[in-house]
Parts: sequence; structure tokens; C-alpha cells
Amino acid sequence: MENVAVRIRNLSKTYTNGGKTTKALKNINLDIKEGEILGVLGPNGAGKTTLINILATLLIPDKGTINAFGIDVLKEANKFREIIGYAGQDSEKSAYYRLTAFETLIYFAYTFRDVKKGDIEREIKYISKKIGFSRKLNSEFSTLSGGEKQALIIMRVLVHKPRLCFLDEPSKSLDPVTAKKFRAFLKDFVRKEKITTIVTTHNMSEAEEICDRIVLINKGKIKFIGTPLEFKNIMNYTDKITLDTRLNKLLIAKLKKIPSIVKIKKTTKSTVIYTNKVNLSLLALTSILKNEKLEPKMTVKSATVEDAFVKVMGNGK
Amino acid sequence: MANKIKEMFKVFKMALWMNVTLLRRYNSNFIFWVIYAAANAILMLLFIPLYSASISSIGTKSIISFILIGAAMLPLLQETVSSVSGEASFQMWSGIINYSFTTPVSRYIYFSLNSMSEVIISLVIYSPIYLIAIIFAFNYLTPLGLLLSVICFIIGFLGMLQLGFMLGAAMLLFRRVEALDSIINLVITFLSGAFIPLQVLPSSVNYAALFVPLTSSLYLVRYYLVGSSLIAPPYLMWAITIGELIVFALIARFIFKAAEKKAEKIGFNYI
Repeated sequence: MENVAVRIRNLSKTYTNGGKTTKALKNINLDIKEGEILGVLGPNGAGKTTLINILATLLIPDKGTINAFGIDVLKEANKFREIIGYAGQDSEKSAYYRLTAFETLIYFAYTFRDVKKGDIEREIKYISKKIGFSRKLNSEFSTLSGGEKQALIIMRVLVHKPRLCFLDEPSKSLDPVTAKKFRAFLKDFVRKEKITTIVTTHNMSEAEEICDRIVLINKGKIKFIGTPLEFKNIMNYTDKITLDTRLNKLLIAKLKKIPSIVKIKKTTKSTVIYTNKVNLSLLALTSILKNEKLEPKMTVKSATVEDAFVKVMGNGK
Repeated sequence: MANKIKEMFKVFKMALWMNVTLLRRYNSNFIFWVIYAAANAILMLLFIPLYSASISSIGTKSIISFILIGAAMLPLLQETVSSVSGEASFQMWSGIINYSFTTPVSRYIYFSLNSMSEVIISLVIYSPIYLIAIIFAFNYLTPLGLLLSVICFIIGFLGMLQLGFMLGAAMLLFRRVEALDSIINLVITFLSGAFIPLQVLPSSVNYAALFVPLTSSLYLVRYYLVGSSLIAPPYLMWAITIGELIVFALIARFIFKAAEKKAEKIGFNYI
């Protein structure tokens, strides 16, 4: 059985602003496994950042307990801070403007962490090479683009190799190419260094690509915990087959008799067939259409985490 | 304990490294600071006739040293107050506070040592003025006097640091307190004795001025360097200086902790 790195029990947090109270988290119970990448998903204001900020000791909860690697996080916050790394959402401002990227990494690592300067320099060169940041190391923070600043802030967390790291929307300002490179690196690096990683994101493909498990939060409550595959299985289909024509009632009745087809939906110009066994459905569908002498254009698309997200959030409202 | 000292040394070393790195990169700024320090001292020296008229009350052996000590100490220690609150303000605005809060290093230690590193840089800038002050006081100066004046200077710095923490905490608690910063600076300028010798003012003002943490230490620095008069016997001035430092430190620590607690309840993002 995998070890539990972080055990969260009955965690609740309420904000009071101008006499108005908002329950940001309601009785959250969650176990985070050692070495896993856990994605925290949810719409804006769901409680993702509140959860990550409480875990990173930035906020005190109203009630509940957190135990991480045998440390009572709420009672021994300073001991816990020795093993964590945190990158918040303020990446565009969160460093000293006139220091270069290299100086920034050296300064923060050596000032705030118990590390050897030589090790840090080696790690900076290794990580920056992997994510294509090497040529920017001598640029001042103020001259970096939004995405480069974001990459630097994440590097700041990773260079000292924490046991547990929190990344709040890590690839939000990165361009698609850098984001892809970054995701591949992050996955490899945290696996190699056995860093338990908690990532909040709005990017569903990112969650699917890097996370071992997903936690879906809405209105302060956990709606789902499981692997991205399990999450997609919330949908009762694996693929969507779209035909660029509206089929008649008789044909639809015939198709509904195929066991692998779970649902059929007609739009103004097309017919969408939801299936849980795409190959079987395609064979049967092609044969029926051939008999009817129909040759519509077909497109097949797999169900995504995004589809599952929309479904769960839709039900949650 | 050894670990704590090691950590403090490391934080101080890195703060100094950052300041020196930036100073070397933007060396024209360093030159402007030196010009500012010199201009400050020269302008203060224009007041020699005014000070000379009250020399019997001031009781100093060198009016030039007396003026230069004030001219060099005032901006330097005013910077101590601003550096803590300035760093707190910048960290809140930039979000660095979120990062630093998730590390094992105490903010109190971090801000203190950061400020100390800035003061060390300023000491370099103001060192020619101190040197001139010492040259003019050389005939009266004893090694013990010099040592005691350095100790008083350090106590003055620590006292101002506490004011800086109070202002930094006020920034965390009330978001914008630039007006408070100006009030503190005004009080320090006029009641520390650096600019206007308190010896020439009514004794009631002198007693009120002792509530400014810089005043008594500046009195003592001048007393040991150039033999200027004190408002009370030296032992009492020492007691006031150290007592004030302790009280200010306790208040600053309490307010700073309260500000941190508030931040932990509502989040730095909302401060």
C-alpha cells in the first residue's frame, strides 16, 4: 500500500468580509499519497487556493487537522516549512526586480533554505537547460516576459528539492510550447526526486497529462477524488462519434439497439453518438449506414477530463 | 541556538550580497548617495553660527563634530525605520511575502537583518562624514569614549528598528500608512536632537523628546565623542536608552505577531 504523505481531516475555512461570511472550505477530508502529483480542479472561487494556502501554512483553518510526513502542520508550522516549497499566483511580481534570474534563484534558495551554494548552482543549470531557460539566466527579473517570470518562480520552488511542493496554477502564463516542455519536465523531475506535488489548475489537459490523481472542488466541497481515467469514467461514454447529418427516427431506433451505444443526440445539422466501445460501434454504424446508402462524414473524439468537469460542475449547480 | 545564529548570519550575508550586487550594478546611484550625504553635511555646517550662539548650553568641545554626527546619524537611522516598513510594503505588493511566509526563516529576523545590511551600506556612504567628525574630535576622544559611542549608536539603530517594525506591522494591519511614516519622520527630525540641538530647547521638550528611541542614544553618542551636555546623569541616560529599547522591542514584537496572525486568518492576498 502506498504511504500517505498528507492526511487532511475535517478542514473548514470561513472568510468574513464586511459582515458577509463565505464558507471557502467545508469539512474537507483528503489523503495525499507520497510522491504523487495531485491536481486540484474547480471553477473560480471553488476553494482551491484556500486549500493550497492552508496546506502551505499561509492561512489558518477554522477547524480540522493536517498531518504531513508525521508533522502536525497547524501546531508545528515552522518544522513543516523546512520541507515544503510554494509558488503562488503572484509570479509576475514575486521577486526583486533588479536581480537577474540566476541571482534571484541563488538569493531565495540560499537565504530561505538549508542548501549548499554549489548544489543550487548545479540544479539551476540543470533545470534551466531542461525547460529552455538557460539563455535567460542573466536577464534581470523586470525584463523577463510573463511566462519567463512564471517559469522562474517555479524553478525557485524546485531547485531546493522540497519533499512537498505546492504550485498554484503553474503554467497559467506559459505559451503552449513552453507549457508542454514544462509539464514534461515537471512530471519527470518530481518523479525522480520523489517530490509530492499539489497543483491547482484550470487547464484540464494539464491535469490529464501530469496528475496521478485529481480532486475536484466546488463551493468548498470535494466532488470527486480519483485518477484522470476514473474521472473521465464519470461520463458513461469513452468517445463521441459525430455525423454531419441528422439521422431519421427509424435509423436512430436501429442504432439505439447497438449495446455499445449509450446515447444519441441530434443537433440542428448533425447527430452525435456516444459510445463506450468505439470500434464495435463504428463497425455496426458503418454497416447500418451502408445498408441505407448513406455516406455522412464521421469524426471521432475521445471523452476528455474537460467533458467530465463540465458534467460534474453542471450537476453541482 | 547555534543553528539559529548560523541562519541569522546566512540571512544577513545574503541581504548584504544582494545590496552590494545592486550597488555595483547601479554604481551611479551610489555616487548620487555620496553626493547627497556630503550635501547634507555641508548644509548642516551652514548652521555653525546658530549653534555657536548656544555653545554654552550644548557644552560641546567641537561644534563641527557635534553637527556632523547629527547630520550623519539622522538620515541613516531614518532609513532603518523606512527599510523595514518599505520591505514589508514591497513584499505585500509583490507577493514575495507569501513565499517568505512558507519558509522556516522568521520574518522578524529577515526584516531586521535586511535592514541592518542596508544600514551597513549607508555607513559606507556616510563614513567620510563620521571620519571628519572624529578628526575634529580627535583631541578629546578616548578609546573608551569611541567604544561607548559605537555601542550607543548600535542601541539607537536597534531602537529605530523597533519603530520600523511597528510601522511595518501597521502596514500589514491597515494596508496604507504612508502618513504615519511621515509623522514618525517629522518627530524624529525635530525631536531626536540631530537637526536642532535639544540643549537649546526648554527642558520639558527635552523630556518629551526622550520618548523618541533615537534621542537618548544620540545624546550619549555626542557625549562620548565630543563631551556635549546631557539632560540627566549618564547612568540615567543609559537606563532610559536600554529601557526604551526593551519596551519598544516588546511592543514591536507584539504588534508584528498580531499582524502576522491577522494575515494568517484572512490571507495576505486580502490585506
